[in-house]
Amino acid sequence: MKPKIGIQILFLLISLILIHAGEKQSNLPISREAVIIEYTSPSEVMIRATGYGISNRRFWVKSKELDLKANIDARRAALWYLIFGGTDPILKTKKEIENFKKIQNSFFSSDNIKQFIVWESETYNQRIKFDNGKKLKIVKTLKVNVKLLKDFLASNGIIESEKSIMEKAGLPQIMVVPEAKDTTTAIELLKKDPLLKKGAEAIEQSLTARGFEVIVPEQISSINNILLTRLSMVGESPDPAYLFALSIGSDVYITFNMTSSARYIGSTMVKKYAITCRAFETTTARLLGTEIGYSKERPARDAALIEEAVNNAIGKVLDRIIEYWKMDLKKGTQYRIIISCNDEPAKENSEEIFYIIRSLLKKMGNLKENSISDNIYDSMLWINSEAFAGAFDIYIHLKKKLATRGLTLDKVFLNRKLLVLKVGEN
Amino acid sequence: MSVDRIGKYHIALLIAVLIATNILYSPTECYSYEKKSISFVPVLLKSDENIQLSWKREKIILHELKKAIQMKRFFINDLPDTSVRKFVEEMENFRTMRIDMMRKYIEKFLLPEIYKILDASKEIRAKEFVSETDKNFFIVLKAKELGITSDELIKVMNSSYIAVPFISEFVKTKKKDKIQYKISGGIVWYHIKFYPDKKIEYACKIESWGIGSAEKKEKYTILNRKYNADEFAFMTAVNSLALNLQVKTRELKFFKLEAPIISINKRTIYLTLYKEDGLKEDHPFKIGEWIEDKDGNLEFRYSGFVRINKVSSKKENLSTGLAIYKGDWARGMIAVEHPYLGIDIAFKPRIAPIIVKKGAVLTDKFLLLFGNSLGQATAIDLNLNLSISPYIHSFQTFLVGGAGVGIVPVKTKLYSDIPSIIFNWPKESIFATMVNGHIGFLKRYYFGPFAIHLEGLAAFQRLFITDEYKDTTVYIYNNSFGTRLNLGLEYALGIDTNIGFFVGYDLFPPMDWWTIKCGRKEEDLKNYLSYQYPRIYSNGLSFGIYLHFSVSELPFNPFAILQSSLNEN
Repeated sequence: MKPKIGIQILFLLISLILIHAGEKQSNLPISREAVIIEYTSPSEVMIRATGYGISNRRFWVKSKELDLKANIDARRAALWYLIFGGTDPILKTKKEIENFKKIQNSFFSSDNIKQFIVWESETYNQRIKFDNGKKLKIVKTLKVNVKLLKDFLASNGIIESEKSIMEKAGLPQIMVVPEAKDTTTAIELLKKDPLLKKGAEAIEQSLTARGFEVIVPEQISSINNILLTRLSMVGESPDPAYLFALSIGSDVYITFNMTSSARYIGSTMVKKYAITCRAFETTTARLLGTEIGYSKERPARDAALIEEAVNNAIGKVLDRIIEYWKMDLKKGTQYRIIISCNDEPAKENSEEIFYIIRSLLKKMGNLKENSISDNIYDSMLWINSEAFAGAFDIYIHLKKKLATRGLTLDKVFLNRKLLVLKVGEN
Repeated sequence: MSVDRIGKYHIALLIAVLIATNILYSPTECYSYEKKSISFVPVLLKSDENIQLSWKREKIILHELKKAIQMKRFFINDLPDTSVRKFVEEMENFRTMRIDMMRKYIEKFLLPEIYKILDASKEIRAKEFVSETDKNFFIVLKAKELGITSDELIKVMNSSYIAVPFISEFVKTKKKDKIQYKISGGIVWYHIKFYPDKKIEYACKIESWGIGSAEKKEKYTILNRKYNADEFAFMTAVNSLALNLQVKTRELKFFKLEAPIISINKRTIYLTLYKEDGLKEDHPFKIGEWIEDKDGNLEFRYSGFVRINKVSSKKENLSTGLAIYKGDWARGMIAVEHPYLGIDIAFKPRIAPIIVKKGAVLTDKFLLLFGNSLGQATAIDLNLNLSISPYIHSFQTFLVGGAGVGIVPVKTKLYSDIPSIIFNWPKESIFATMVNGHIGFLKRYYFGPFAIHLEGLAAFQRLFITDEYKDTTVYIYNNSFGTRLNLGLEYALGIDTNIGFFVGYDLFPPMDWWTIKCGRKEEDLKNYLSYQYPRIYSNGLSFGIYLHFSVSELPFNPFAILQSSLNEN
């Protein structure tokens, strides 16, 4: 009888050990509480995260163990927030999320996440024990290198890296211009107001740090008058920033405006800046993203406060631009093609001519027509960049094809994104 | 309005202030002490019109109180003389406590000056409030700005206090040989805010007292400074009061040093409090944390304490504390200052060796015989251990001063004629009294709640007997100088109490040094039998129990002048 009991106990013990061994501890954060405090640089972000330390043991729970676990959980919560949380998570598509789920347990391992944490506060913002001292909640501040995090996710095939986008088609060309209340040009605004210039420089600094090609509006003297005439013909509003961007041929343009408030504390003037950054698709003037960044109220130089506010706004805007660019690249390279009838015979046969042009463009790529009037054909065309290297290639191709139909094609204005052409009959 | 009535009138206000203070930060926030600004009003108010005090004495009291209150944990707003003079002139009419009037004049004459001082220095002071996180923001790292926000500036402008000193009792007692002073007094604290509106609020009132006494004929010298008896008694009383008020100020919620633990290495904790905050070696800090119960109620629970064993400057490393009672600690827990005057009162009941070898003392009037005895003195010492660690930066080092009394069985008799010697040789043991005064050093080494101490004392010891001589009680003293070395083992019963035992070696050589007191006068005694005088000496092991209490208030503090002078340095 006795040996039987012994075997039963042994069996029970082995079963318990096996069950315990089979239990895999999840590395996912218990806490999902975090908030971004500041974008300290284009690649780093300061986050305040909550961490929970919960012991597996029922007795002899040690504070040191809870503290260690709470710290790891706070780091995980910070990264979780950047990856999934907030308005602009790194993972946006279902596919990306599904891909990440496959590696999430190893990703959130305490050894792995350390590499993304640049700095951690030595003190806690809050520390409280609960559940008879068996659980600990801490709130602390961490600085995360978002660039490293994105690179890691890209190298693991979770997201497409900015580098790979660059290799494929380059990052979008971006122009930064201040918002004008009247018809004052961007160049005049930047010349007149050194603080606006500082704002533009701060945005440009973030753009270049992220590898974007930045077009400085100062280099362009004025908006192309012909372009202005043509655009007014298609009913475009004369927004100087938009016209500028179209003139220059940037892929995206960012407009910004600044407001500041000041008051005295004692004899010291303290100032606070708010900067609104708005990103537009150049060809359509479609709004891609808007973000307002605030500086803290400080007795500091305007330039420093402006940069502080810009840092807090631009990061999210750039993320949205990248996202747009990724989506857009899938369709091909985007061009806006505006074709007008050059002469009276052509105007008379505009419908027929436009039909021919439409057929040709459809064969070249994805076409979206903006407007067709009596003598203006305005469209968007997404073309495989391998087939056509640029606007001039498209123009030559169209010219050749139309010539076979007895039509002439001349360029009025040509840049990276825009083709303003005129068609006529032989 | 009397001093006592101030408290009654302002209890509600005080509660409101305390609530407001708590509202400023969430109770569970890991709060670290932030420096407050203080202004000391150089007018000594009296709660009783009958208090007579010379202008010079008043000035000394003010000076000592100011020195004690202006601690490193504060930014000092030194008020300009012109404004103070105007204020004093106005207050001359109301030199007894008139809180309502005082407030009015503070507001009229001093508040504008305090505002100016705060305004001029707010950026520098606000720098102290820039947190570790703030220092990692772009504005500091890249823009090389100070990292100050308007919040910190407002904090400077709103965390200013005014200290108004007062005295409630001043008594000088003259006895035949002694002069004694008793001074009672305190500080009324006001809290000033400038944002969003200018406000002066009563914060609290602290009170204490000090006693000083001196032998009329004696001259006293402390750290090369000479005092006559009256000065010494007065200064001891004033400094005792000032030091007691200093501890009481440190006890106030808004002035108490506290900081989170940054890390723990075995029994050493690391803190973000520094020399610049007024942190001192040996000072105890309780360690605690916020606990939330099932109903969501929060409680700050303590679990042990440390003593500061290394004070660093801000430019150096972190300051450290040694855990005496270590609970289940982890980083992030809060160290909270525990009030400590820097003095431990130690009681030491002990058994010490006393050997008497027979001999005689022959004078022109009588003969004193001692028989052989190998006795043990049963004695008790009362010591004051003054922590000198903050001045020499050596953890748990004390200057010891004290006195002891005991009884010793001896065989002795006093003879006034020769025949009585023949029939009455001393055989019976009687108890002689042994008294001693000693001074020395004590060094303590902590191992958790246990500690080993080494004590070296230089002592003056005297054994005396009393007898009747011609119907007069005479006291015959044998005096000796010697040393005592003690090795003790202690256990910390709590943050303020240690208990233990010690083994010592007493070495007091026999000295043919006798004095006699017959009536009031004590005189040296010439022993004509110096070749065989009674040899009274100690040379052997002593044993005893050690018990000390750390005090936060000591009305009679013999070290007061020394402590105050050392603090000055």
